[in-house]
Amino acid sequence: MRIVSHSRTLGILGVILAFMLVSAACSGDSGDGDTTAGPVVLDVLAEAGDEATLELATAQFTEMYPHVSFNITLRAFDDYMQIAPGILSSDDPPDIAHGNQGYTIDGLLVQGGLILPLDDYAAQYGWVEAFGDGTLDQYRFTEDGTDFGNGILWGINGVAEFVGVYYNKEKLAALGGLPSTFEEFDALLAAAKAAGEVPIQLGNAEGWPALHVYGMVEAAYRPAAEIRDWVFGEPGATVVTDTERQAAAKFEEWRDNGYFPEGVNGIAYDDSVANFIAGEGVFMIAGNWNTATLDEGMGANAGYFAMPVGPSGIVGGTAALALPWHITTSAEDPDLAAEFINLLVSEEFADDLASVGRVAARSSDTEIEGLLAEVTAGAAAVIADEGVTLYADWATPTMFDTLTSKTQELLGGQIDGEQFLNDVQADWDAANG
Amino acid sequence: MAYLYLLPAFAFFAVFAVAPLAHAFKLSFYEWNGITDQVWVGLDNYVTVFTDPKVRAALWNSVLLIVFYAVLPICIALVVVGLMARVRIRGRTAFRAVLFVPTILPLTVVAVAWRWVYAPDGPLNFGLDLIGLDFVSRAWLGDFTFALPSLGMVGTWVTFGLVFVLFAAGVQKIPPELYESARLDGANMVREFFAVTLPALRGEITVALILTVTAALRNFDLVFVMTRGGPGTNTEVPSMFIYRSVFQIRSIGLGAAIGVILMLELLAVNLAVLWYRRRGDLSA
Repeated sequence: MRIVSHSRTLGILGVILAFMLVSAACSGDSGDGDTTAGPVVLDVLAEAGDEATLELATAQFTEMYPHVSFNITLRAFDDYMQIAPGILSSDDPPDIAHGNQGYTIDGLLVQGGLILPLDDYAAQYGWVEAFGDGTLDQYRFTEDGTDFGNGILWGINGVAEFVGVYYNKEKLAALGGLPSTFEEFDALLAAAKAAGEVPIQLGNAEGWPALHVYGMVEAAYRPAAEIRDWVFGEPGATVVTDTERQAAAKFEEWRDNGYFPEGVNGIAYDDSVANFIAGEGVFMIAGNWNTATLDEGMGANAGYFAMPVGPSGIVGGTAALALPWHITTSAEDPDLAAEFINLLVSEEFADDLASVGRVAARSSDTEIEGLLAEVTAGAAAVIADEGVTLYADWATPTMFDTLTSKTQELLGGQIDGEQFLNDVQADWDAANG
Repeated sequence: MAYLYLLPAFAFFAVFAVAPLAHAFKLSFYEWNGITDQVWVGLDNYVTVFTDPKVRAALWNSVLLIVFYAVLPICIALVVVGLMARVRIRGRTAFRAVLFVPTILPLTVVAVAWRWVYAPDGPLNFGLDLIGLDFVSRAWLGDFTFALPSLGMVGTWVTFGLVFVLFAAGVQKIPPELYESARLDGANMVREFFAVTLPALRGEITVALILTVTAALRNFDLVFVMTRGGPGTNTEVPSMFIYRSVFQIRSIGLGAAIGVILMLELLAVNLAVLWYRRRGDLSA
C-alpha cells in the first residue's frame, strides 16, 4: 500500500456506504475497440493527488485527438482505496483507473478479471526499455493474481515516489559536508546530537513514517535485490538474515541515542514536516512528495540527497513508482486508453510532471531547478544504482498493520530490534509459508 | 388486524436492520474479498478472531473504555446532581446547555480538536509546562501508558453532558416533600443522596448506562481519527478491526465475524444492565 500524508476523517456511515458498494454485483462486458473518429469520452477514476497531472495530460491529449473528451472522477487516497475495487466491479466502471501495488488492490483486480494485461502495449511503446525491467516488476502479477512481482504487466506509472533524505542546509553546513557513505551519515547524526540538534525529524503517530526510516537502514545493510525478493515473496527469500539483524540493531541504536524527537509516536506526520520547516531537525527521511511543501516553507535552505547505502557510495532505499494506471476490461477503446497512458509516462511529459511538482522516473532534459532538481537527480541516481527496495508493506495483506504497530512499539521501547524482526517474519511466514 | 398497523414500521426495520444483519451473519461464514466468488469456510473466521491476540486485546480495550464512557460520567453526574439538590445554582439552564454541547458535536470534530489538545506542542502540555509540571507533559496519544486513558477521557467529556441532562431532569421530578422529610429525619447531604436521589434516578441510570456502554463498545470515530489503534495496538478496538479487515486486508468474512461478535457483546452487556434493573425493582 502506498502512503500519503492525508489523514482522512471518515465516520461509520461512510464505511457502511462503501461496504455496500463493495458488495455490489460484478459485471464485465468488454468493448470491441472501435476506433472510428466519432466523439469518444474516456472515463478516468483517479486518486486526487493526480488532479493537476491529469489537467495537463488531458489538455494535451485532446489537442492531439480532438474527438476525445474526458470524464474524470477524483477521490482522496483513503477513500479511493476503499471504494475503487467496488466501482471497478460495478455495472458502470471507468475506462482507466488507478490501482495500488500489492495483493489487496492490484491482486484483487487481476483475480476479478477487472483490468487488462498491458504487455502488448509495453512492447509497442517501449515501456520496459525506458523504465528497466526490474522497475516495472511492482506492476506484475501472474494471471491468477496470486504471485506478486512476476508474470504479466497490468499497470504503469511514470512518477517516482522515492524516500530520500531532506536536510536543513544551514544546520548541515555547521556539522560537515554531504555524506557519501552510510557511515558518514551515521557520524553526522552523532555530531548533530552532540550539537544539541534533533538529528532526524520524524512523526510516527501513523506508524508508517518510521518505516521509511527503517527502510533506509535496511538498504544500508542488505543488497536491494535481496530486499525486493522478500517483498515479492520469491522462493528462497526470507526477512530475517544476519544483515537484517544488523540493520535492526542500528535502528535500535539510533532510538537509544535519542536521534528522533521526543514523543515521536505522538507526533503526526504532517506536524513533523511542519517542525522540520520550522527548523527542528537536521535531516528528515521522507517521501519525495513532500518537495513542494518544503520548497515553499524553507526555500533555498532545504536540500535533498538519495541515501548512500553502504561503504561503496551507491544510493538506494525505500522507493517505488506511483499508483499504477490500469485499463479496465470494460474499456470501450483499450487502444485509445493505452495511448493516453503512454502520454502520461512519456519522456516528453516529464517536464509537465515537474511543473506540477512531481518527480518523473524517466530521465529527461528538464529545466527544473531548486529543491525539485535535487530530488529528481536523487531519483535518477537510485534508479541508475538499481537501489529501489519497494515498500515493505506490500509483502502481505496484513503487513501494513504489522509494520505500523511494530515500528511504534520499537520506537516506544516496548520491543527491541530482534523482536521487531521476529514479528515481521511471523507475518511474512503466514503468507509465504 | 392490529398487527397491520405495525407493518409499515416493521417493513422499514426489516429492510434496513434485519436484512443487513442477516447478510453480515451469512458473510461471517465465508471467505470473500468483495470481488471474486465467496468460499464457505464454516467457523474459520470465528476461530481466527478468537485466536488472534490483537483482537482479544481490542475486545479488552473496549471493556476498559466502558469505564471512561459510562462509569466515570455517571459517577460525576450523580455527584453534581446530588449537590444541586441542595445548592441552588444561578444560571442552571445555561450550564446545562454548555455541558450538553459535546454530545451534539460530530465525533470527528471532537476527535480532531482533542488530537490538537493532546499534541506534544498542544495546549495541554503548554498549560502543564506553564505551571511547572513539565515532567508530566508528554506526547499523550503516542504514550504506551497514557494513550488509552487520554482517549477515554474524551469519551467521558462527550457522554457526560448527556448523562448529566438526563439526571438533572430526573431530579426535578422528585417531590420536594421527600427531601423535606429526609431532612426532618436528620439526614445529612450524603444520606439524603443515597436515600432519596439515587433510588429515584434508577430509571435514568439504566438509560444512561445503555446509551453510554453502547457508545463505548462501538467506538470507531475517536480511535480512527486520534490514534488509529496506536501506539502499537494500545488503543485497538473491535470496530477498527472491522474497518481493517474489510478495507485493508479485504477479508470481508473476517470483518463480518468480528461485527457479529461485537453485536453479541453489546447485547450481552445491555441485557445484563436491564436484568439488573429488573432485579432491583423486585427487591425494592
